[in-house]
Amino acid sequence: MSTVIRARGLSRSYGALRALDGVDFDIESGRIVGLIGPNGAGKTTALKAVLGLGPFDGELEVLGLDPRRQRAELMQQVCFIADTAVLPRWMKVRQALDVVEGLHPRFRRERAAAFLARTEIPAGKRIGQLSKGMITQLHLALVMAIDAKLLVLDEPTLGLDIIYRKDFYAALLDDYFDEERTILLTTHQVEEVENILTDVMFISHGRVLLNESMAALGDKFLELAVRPDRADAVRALHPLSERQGLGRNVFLFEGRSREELAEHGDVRVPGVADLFVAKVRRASA
Amino acid sequence: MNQIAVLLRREFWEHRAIAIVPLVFGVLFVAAVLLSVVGLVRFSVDIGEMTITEMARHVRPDDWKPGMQVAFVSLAGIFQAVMIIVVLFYLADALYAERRDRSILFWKSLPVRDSTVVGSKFLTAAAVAPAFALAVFVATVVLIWLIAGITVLVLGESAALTAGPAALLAASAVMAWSLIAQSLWYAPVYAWVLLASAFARRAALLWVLLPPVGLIIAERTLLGSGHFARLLAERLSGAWELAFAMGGRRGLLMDEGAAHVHALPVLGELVTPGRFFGSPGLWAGLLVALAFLAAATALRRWRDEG
Repeated sequence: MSTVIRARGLSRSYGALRALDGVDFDIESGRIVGLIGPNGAGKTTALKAVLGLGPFDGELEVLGLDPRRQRAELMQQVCFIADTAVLPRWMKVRQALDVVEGLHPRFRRERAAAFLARTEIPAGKRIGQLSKGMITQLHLALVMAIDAKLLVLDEPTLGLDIIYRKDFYAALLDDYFDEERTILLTTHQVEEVENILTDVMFISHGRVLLNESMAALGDKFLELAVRPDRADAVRALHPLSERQGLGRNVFLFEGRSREELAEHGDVRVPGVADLFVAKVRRASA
Repeated sequence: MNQIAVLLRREFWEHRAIAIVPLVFGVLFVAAVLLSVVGLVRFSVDIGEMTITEMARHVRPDDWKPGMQVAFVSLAGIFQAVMIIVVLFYLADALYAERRDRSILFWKSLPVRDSTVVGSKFLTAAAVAPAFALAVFVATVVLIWLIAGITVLVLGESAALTAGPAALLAASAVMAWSLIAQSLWYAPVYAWVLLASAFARRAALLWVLLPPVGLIIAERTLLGSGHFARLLAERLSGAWELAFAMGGRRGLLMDEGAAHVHALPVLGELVTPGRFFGSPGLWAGLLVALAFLAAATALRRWRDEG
């Protein structure tokens, strides 16, 4: 396993706003990392820095390259889908294949063609005539046919209906991902990616609030559901957050043992979304 | 290398006017000649307005060659002027369109240097579009020559058919040199339009025009002088003054004084490459063009496409 991304003191300001405020993180190969944060948290700024799309301060190494100086070399190894529907609308599907084949030495056309054959996308149509779901499928087909080490996805399924979203992640997992590759993605729909992620990184106000593997998450964080009459006793244990469930009070704990909590009620591993809300609220409180 | 070829093809796909407009003009000219054969269109020649069939009767055999030369050179001028207009609009759009539709994020996901992309767009304007215009011109003239020549031959005169190839060759050579000189001379203009296209967040054409116009007005009001305006006028008036003897006018003028001089000067007398390449203005312009292209590249590289 090797380090794919190494960031130290990664910063970027837009005027007075610190979009990224001295962020440190490492991403190892063979991981699927979810970068999760509210709007304006700095997710996209961080991805842009990784892709060399914008200036930044601090140290950043992606696959051993400096995204500021070696962007073109970096793009040999890195693919990204920045948003849905950024494929040029004037282009025909066939031309898109021609262009990527001509410009990307690691693109394998037969792979993309095979993937497209499973969709209903006609090769002779202009991209502007395709539905949003089809455009995303096409983009995914192009990207999956590139033998890259790092794939960056920024809200890849935004605005797609649920069938396309499910298919998108299924294709990514089944046909693309392996231990040689790394995927870094941002999304608002945390629930959808939760079970494919190996790591999560929470980011808010330009700072990393949490950076854990999914496996470690279950050891570190626990959710406890208790009947209302036990609530006061549980509050004394300093939960991270509290919310109301169905006739239950649900508490989130960091660093408490399962046994300690089990005597008060039902213990389980929290969902990433709940954990995220708790962490962000705690950070801004 | 191969990447450049793919990028040039992209420009033709994306900006189809570069191909379509010259083709449309070619088709129109050929159609006009065809209509003239059946007597529906008259061309103005120096002995009056007439159709091709009338010309077959009235034009002296010796006049076909110089007449065709001058006609073809005029046609070349039209193709070139149209090409330049198309290219200027193309350049204003070239680095702006991909940002407007956000497809720049797709282009930037490919391992291509920004300098290569900007270079491919400049090359499209300065080399590919002129070469295409020349090719369409040659095809058009070949068709016109065949249609007119065969028509005139059927009416009993072979001079039009036999004079064609030499006239075509001369006109093509004049056009080729004119295109080369024009592209080199206009390089700073093209690069400026490309820079404005990289800079504009909207209304790219406005950004092409506003800074130079602003500079002219500023110089006029602050210094009371017009150096920049003159410089710009010299640049825009074209390379012909330098690249052709007598500014190229002699090639197009059929009348000189009372006597008809029905001849295009031989090529060696017409073109003045020594004077053109020896002009400091050419080299200064190329340096300015390089600076503008570097600025456009930096803008494309570092502009944050939010």
